[in-house]
Amino acid sequence: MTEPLRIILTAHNPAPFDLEVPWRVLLVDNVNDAKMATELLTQPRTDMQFAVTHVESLSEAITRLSMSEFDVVALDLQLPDSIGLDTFLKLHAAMPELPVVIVTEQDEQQMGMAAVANGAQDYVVKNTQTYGEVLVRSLQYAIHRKRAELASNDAVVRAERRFRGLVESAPDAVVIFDAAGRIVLVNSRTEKMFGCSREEIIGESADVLVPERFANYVKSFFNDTGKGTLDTVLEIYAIRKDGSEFPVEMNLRPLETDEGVLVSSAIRDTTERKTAEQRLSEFYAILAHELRTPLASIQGSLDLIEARRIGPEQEKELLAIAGIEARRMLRLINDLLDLKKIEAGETKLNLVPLKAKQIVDKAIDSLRGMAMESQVAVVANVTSDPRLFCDEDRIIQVLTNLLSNAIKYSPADGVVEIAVKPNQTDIKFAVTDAGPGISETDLDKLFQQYNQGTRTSGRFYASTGLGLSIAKKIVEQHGGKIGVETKDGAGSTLWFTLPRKPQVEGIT
Amino acid sequence: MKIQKILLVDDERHVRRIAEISLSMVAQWSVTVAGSGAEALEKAQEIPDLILLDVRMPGMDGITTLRKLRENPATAAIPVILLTASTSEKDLEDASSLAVLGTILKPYSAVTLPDEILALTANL
Repeated sequence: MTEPLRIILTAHNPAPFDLEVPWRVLLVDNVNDAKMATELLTQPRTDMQFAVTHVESLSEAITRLSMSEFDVVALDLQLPDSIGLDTFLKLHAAMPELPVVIVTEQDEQQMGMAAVANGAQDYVVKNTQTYGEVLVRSLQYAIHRKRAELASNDAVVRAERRFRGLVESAPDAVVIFDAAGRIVLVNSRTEKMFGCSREEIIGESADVLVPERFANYVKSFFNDTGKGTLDTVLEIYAIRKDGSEFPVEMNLRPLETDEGVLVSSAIRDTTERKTAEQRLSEFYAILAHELRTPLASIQGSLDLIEARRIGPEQEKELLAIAGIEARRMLRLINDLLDLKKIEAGETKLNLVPLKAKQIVDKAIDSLRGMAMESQVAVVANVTSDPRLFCDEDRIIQVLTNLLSNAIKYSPADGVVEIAVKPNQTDIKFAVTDAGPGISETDLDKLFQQYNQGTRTSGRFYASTGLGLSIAKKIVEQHGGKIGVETKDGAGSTLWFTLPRKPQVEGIT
Repeated sequence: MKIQKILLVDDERHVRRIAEISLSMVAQWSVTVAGSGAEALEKAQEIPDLILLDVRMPGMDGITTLRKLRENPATAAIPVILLTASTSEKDLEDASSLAVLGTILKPYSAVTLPDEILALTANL
């Protein structure tokens, strides 16, 4: 989109093109020549009028120009205080936007031409038959030409400012390369992403942005700019000034400009996306394993029974195992659906006043079978029995998750303790096991959904990952907190708090 | 060498129990079980004729357990079969460098497990 051209002059404010208004000419020349020129310019004319102001020296000219507006300057280069091309250069430096026509003697035409080469609009030779006519036309053109030039400069400046604004506001790092792959322009996002200032990388080759192993690959895209093949997304690693690497998507496109074809690239840091993808794929791997484990037990049990090579006692045991494992699978699938529901905000809490011991007993009861079979004792340590508001089913689910997790990771003959400790404003529930503990680095990740902590050797936390994610969401929905304390190799305590007074809406 | 004493290592209680029942179909085998790498190292001191070792276990995993078995001169020579759901190159590499008898992929059939073990131990 292009805006209509508007003439905006900051230092110089010209009169509009109006034939009724005379054009203001500053004539800088000796008295004699000025007199003649003034006569010629101020003759009555039908096409335009000139108002002439005369000064004799450069210093006077500059003073006058700073005081009042002029549309054009007619300048002799040989003045009492300045001689030659220098005269023009000084005046032009002072008022770069003001059109200047050089008036010169016959033998000084070279200097007139030099002035034009340096930015004067024209030169006119004095003391000829046609001086007046030529001067009028020259001044007229000078004004028009200068205004058109300024207008187009202004449009270019504004277009460039707009372009830079676009580049700066881009969400990606934007790097513009020349056809040879040298960096010519970057935005501030680039500086941030690569940890360097633009001065440091402008002029450098594209391969400073990538690790050495990608250097040739990236360079290869700068050999055929503008041939259509350069419209591509590279999935590579980039490198910061400090040498650290990060995954990026680098989008390369040809950019047509007056200076030839450049290459624009939008670089997006994909670290977060990659991590999320990694997390999700780990989650699926765990989920598959967790579904397959009970299924393998069910199938193994049924196969052995069907093969009829074992005794009736063992058959009975295998049927029991198949039943327990089927329920385990069902629980896992329910957990999965619960998590989705809680996430989607489809669950409302049914807050009722309850005694802590009552909830704990119910949770322990529901896991009696698992504990017995695992030869793990579950001990409740409830010294006082505070009352609290909570959704009974949900909090039992939290406790069940924490307890089954603790039982699962306890050695045979181990003890799992559940303690209830009332504080001033909340009640703390803590489940302690004597399992292998959780490694320090995995503690933070423990409650993150799809990101199960690992037990010390890299084994995933398995199905408890889901259970803990659900527990966290339920506890937070109640306005409580959840956490873990662990000694590597010496068991863990998973705890949560519930406020004594309900802190959420939805009390029924 | 005739296999008599087998040590079965798996952290999943039911998976372990089903395998134990499966192995009991071979009358001359006597099976002891362990639920973790640490327990396996302890019970390996009795020098079984064969160890069936699960790879994916919490705490000390199967590969670490195997490495420790090999480091100890008393248990270094015990034949080991790995039980693993993984077919990753890394795991197989680890296994081959630690001189295992073979690998049985999980989920295995509880009915044919004894035959698979017999096949892998035929040349002992």
